[in-house]
Amino acid sequence: MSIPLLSVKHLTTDIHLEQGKVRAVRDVSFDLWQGKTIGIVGESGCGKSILCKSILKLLPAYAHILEKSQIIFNGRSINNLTEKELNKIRGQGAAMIFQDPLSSLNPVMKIGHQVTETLLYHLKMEEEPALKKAEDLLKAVGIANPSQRIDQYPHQLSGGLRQRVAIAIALACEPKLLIADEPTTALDVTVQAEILDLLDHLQIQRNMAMILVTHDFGLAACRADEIAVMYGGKIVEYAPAEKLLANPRMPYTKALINAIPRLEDPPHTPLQFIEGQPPNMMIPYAGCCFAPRCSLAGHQCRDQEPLLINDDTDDHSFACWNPLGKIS
Amino acid sequence: MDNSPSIFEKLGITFWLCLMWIVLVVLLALFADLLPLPGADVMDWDHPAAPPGTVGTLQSLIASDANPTEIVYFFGTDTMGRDILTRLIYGARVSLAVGLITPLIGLFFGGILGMLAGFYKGRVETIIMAVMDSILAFPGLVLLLAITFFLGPDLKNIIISLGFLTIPSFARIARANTLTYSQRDFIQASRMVGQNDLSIIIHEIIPNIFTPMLIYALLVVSYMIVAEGSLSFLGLGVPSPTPSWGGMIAEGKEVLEETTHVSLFPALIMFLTVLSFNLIGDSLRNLLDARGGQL
Amino acid sequence: MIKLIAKKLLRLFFILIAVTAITFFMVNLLPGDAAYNIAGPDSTAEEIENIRKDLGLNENVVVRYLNWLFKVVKGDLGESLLARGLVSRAIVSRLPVTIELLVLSVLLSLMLAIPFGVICAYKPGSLIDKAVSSTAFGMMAVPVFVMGIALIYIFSIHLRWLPATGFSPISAGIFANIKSLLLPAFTIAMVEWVPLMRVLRSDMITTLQENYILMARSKGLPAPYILFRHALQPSSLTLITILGLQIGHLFGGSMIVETIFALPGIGRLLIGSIFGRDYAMVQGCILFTTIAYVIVNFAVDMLYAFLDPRIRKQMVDGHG
Repeated sequence: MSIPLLSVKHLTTDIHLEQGKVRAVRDVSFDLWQGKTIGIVGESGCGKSILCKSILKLLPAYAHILEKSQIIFNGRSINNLTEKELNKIRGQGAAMIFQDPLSSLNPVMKIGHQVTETLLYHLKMEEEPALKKAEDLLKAVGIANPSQRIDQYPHQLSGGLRQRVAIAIALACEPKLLIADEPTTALDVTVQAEILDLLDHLQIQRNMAMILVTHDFGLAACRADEIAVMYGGKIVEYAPAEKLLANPRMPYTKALINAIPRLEDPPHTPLQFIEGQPPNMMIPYAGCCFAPRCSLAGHQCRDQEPLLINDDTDDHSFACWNPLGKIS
Repeated sequence: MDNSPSIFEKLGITFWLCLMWIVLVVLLALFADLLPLPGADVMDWDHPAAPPGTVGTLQSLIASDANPTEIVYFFGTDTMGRDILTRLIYGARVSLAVGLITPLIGLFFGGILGMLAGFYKGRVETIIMAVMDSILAFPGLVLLLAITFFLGPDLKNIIISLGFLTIPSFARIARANTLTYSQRDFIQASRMVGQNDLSIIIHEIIPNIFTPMLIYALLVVSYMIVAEGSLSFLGLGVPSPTPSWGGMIAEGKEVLEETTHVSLFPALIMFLTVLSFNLIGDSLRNLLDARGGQL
Repeated sequence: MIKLIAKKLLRLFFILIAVTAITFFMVNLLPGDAAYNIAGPDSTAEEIENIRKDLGLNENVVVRYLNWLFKVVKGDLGESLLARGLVSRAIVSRLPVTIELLVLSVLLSLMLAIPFGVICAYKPGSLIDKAVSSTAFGMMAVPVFVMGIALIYIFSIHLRWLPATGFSPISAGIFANIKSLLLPAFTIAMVEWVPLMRVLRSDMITTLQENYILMARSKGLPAPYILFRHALQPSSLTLITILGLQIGHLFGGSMIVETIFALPGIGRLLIGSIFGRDYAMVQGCILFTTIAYVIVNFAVDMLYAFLDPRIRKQMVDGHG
């Protein structure tokens, strides 16, 4: 593979609210190759969700992607596609699963229909074989009695089952890319692991690329090939997972890693947390937007915005004036 | 907050235009007798259903008066040669009397019942609201027809029966608002220090629920004008020869094939009046909602 | 669930008692005027006294009510003074016209309300939304009788497409039948679609912000499909409530349209009887339309619960 499956360049998204304009995603660039997983990690409100929706242009009317942004999917720029061409990509090329499996399934539509509708619309299948395939898909995501489930409504299923249904829907047209926006946040811990294992398994089986969005650094570290840390709408550090874990350069990444609770910690170890509030994106800030919470911040950090650079290796970049752990 | 728009700007030009229209109609209706108009039932048999702008001559009713006066029928005449403008102005008296007095009946009785239900709750509330719901369970127009049929159609009976029909909806609004306010700390506190109920209702509840009730009353005004119009249109409203908009529209319908102005003008005036009340009510409600949001 | 239905049935029963009682006592408890009003202003004292006797105004009121109610339950609404026939027969013969008018007008108002409501909700604040919403607001100020006259002027006098008055029964052919009802039904629809459109628009705007709509968009489904297949049903609960109230109202309110277009329905029967001072017929019509109104509202109330599987679940679980 010489070209990436998905290439995002300078993606910038503004949200127009009554109180003013918010730049929710700022100049985000990354590449994703087939079969690989990129983890996007950050606190709530850092722009991860808007980033996902921007990639598939699923934004609400009050959000606006800037002209300079470029999204190249499968060798083709999707900037100037018509709604119809976009729908082709959304259904067949790239699929998405969402955080809350209860609210992302239509409450008044049977499970079977929600799984088959992409088959009927995109693959032009007939009703009968589509239902048959829906059953296969539900079986593939580990649902025990699919023929019974297709006649049920979402509220009759548990949270974990609903998320499995959502995954089955996403996989229906065999997408090359799966965007999972906090796929396990709303689920019980035991179910979380099951769902993530299922995603892993399906990814390998189908050679899909995946964007895994999460606020949980530990989860991203063990599931993703590469990790992009987002803060204040920007990618502040971007590296292969093991490199980032071993040698975080940005103090924010370090803080996130420290915040992962460890099993070997003795009982009653206080949880590490990051002091201060995530930045108010309404107010433009001249320097590094983590500076107000950073113990290492100096004058430069407050006055001048650091750019995403890599000082030692090609595949580890970060945006920081005072990076940690310089390898000498 | 200093340069926030004034109330005048917030309400917008439409609101003030509507208000001006209503004021105009009210003034014309009030001072109809002072205007240089022929009587509402003066007929000009030389010019029946004459188009707008026709110049006619009026035979004075006093026989000794030999000189007939000239008159311009700005809105034309109806099928019996009566001046439409005059009849519109006198008809406004009926529409406005019904439209403005009936909501007051509903506001007064419904307000009291709703406040009692919301303030005392328990059995009082159950009984009052059950009765209100039973009245609401009736189709309004049928009940109205029934009442006027048995009582006889005159302005007083129409106002009383229409007013009666508005009581339940006012009661519901009064109750809902009272319920919200009596939960507030200051009311609970007043009750706890032993202030008597009547004093709490007069000093705390009424001032607080009055504005939403009044705005609802404005919307009821349009309903009532339309309801009176429907009755008159059916010939069951204020008996002739008293002019009413609904009755004029019904008359015009009979000659619709020959000429439109006989029903067009009353229909237009009625539309503008109802629309104005709707728009005024709507703007005030939006203003109140916006203010509620700020608190 | 059964408990809930029983509760609603009990309520229905009480309302029916209240409704029949009010209808009855309206005549019987009002001052002596009633007989006078029924007889009319030209009547002699003797005639009034006869009517009083006919109505049995001197017996015990409660006994008279129960007797009357017992007869009503058996379907006996008395005999018409003018038409020289049973009131119940007259009502039954007029019923199909009113029902047909009602069904047609409901269909027409939905045909207006649903597409416009959906389009406005899809792009709220857009030019088309503003145009439709303000037209609708303006139309709220047009009384149904003005609308009827305006439509007669446009479609039968000016364009000569449709007849202004007269009714062709189904026996005269379904096409002629519908053609004679089209203008009256359209008159009702043009007034009634406005509240339907407004509630659908606002509910749909809320629905379109739901996650499952985002999910449907992420599936690459086309916008019209998402609007009508995914968003319409969950947005239509208030619409159905309002529609139910309207159907109830129309049972009692069709008289204006029936009068304008000279349709032989229940409403016109009522109006005619009022003018003819046909006491038994007036009482029968009022009672019938009122009961129809109450029952339609009850039916809608029940239907409402069955349309949404979530509410159905609540009812089955007994939380309703």
